Amino acid sequence: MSMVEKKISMYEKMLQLKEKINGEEAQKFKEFYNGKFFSGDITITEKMETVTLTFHHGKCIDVVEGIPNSGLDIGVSGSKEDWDKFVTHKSLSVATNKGNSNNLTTHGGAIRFRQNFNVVAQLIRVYASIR
Amino acid sequence: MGINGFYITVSGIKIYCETNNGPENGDTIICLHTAGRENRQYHDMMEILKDKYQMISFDMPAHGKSWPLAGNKVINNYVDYGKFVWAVIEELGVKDPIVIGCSMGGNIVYHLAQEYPVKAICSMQGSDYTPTIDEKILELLNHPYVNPQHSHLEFSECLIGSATTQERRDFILWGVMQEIGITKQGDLTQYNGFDVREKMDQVTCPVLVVHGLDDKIATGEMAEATMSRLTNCKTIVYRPIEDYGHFILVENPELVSVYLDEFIQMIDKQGKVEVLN
Repeated sequence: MSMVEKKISMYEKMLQLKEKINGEEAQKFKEFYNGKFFSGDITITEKMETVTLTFHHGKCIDVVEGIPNSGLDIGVSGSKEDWDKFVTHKSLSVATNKGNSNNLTTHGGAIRFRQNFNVVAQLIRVYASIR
Repeated sequence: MGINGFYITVSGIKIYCETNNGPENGDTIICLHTAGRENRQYHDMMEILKDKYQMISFDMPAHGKSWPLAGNKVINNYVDYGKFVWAVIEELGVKDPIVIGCSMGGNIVYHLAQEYPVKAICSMQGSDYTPTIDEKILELLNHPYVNPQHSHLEFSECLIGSATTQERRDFILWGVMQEIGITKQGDLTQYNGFDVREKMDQVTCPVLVVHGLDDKIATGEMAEATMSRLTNCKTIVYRPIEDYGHFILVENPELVSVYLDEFIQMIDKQGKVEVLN
């Protein structure tokens, strides 16, 4: 057995995230964080890798590399250091607070993003747990 | 439950107050709530300290059961905030108040100590400079397409300390669900514009700083930087609390009450220089 650890791509991690957000995390995601009202795309970028998850009423129905042909809906991006920092607190509010360093960058229309802030916040919190 | 509510009129506005009916012959503690919330945050502390101190909490205009400013306006700058707090204290007829506050209330106590004759202050999760919130988020707190009770939930959730009980966590989040968009917008606008650093050397009354360290927005570092500017304050007591966060008065009222009681006893009996850490 090889002792070399296989590097998992961002896309593969997002497939794991899809399983988790549709499985053990589904109830909390849909009900407490209002995921059941969200239909659309959430694009996540870490370093130079971008993956988009498509949701229908809070269920993740597709994962694609990059930004869909229809364009970016909402999302967050950051460098490896930014995501490393995020993992320590797991809060999008903290990661977008002006007073803090190594913040994440939000993408998409400001209104749409605020309407679905909890959905994105919880999705990337779960992502942080498997990253 | 020994807490009673009553109304007073301040600058023409009906203001809702609560008292724990504590002893009238000792110190009176005026209690200031956090942004967007109201005076129920102090119920536990008021119960714990009811045999020792008279405590009066009140809802700022447009919060809780108090009326808004004329024309359904809200206070959105710290100078007006401080003026209103002092007007409430004068209307209550309280002399030499000990003023305690958390978050925006923990900020404004520094301004009050600079401008008004308080006996002492207690700042919980406070600072003298808090330019922390993105202006776009502030704008969207009062937008017809954005629900502040939902969009701002995670903002409060992330501030709660890891050791906080579920019951207290639920009460804090219930507070978010009761918030009024324009009120929260006004509070956080004044919070974002709060900067009283230049006058910190004018604070001479005793200062208690209580800080839950599980707070990634109003951080312990901000509290310590603030204390470093209290250059003419002879009595500063700093009580950092591990594993609790931004809503420290709700999260751990037992420990905050112990620290507040110790502080008041110290300044009443000694009134001398003492710095605890």
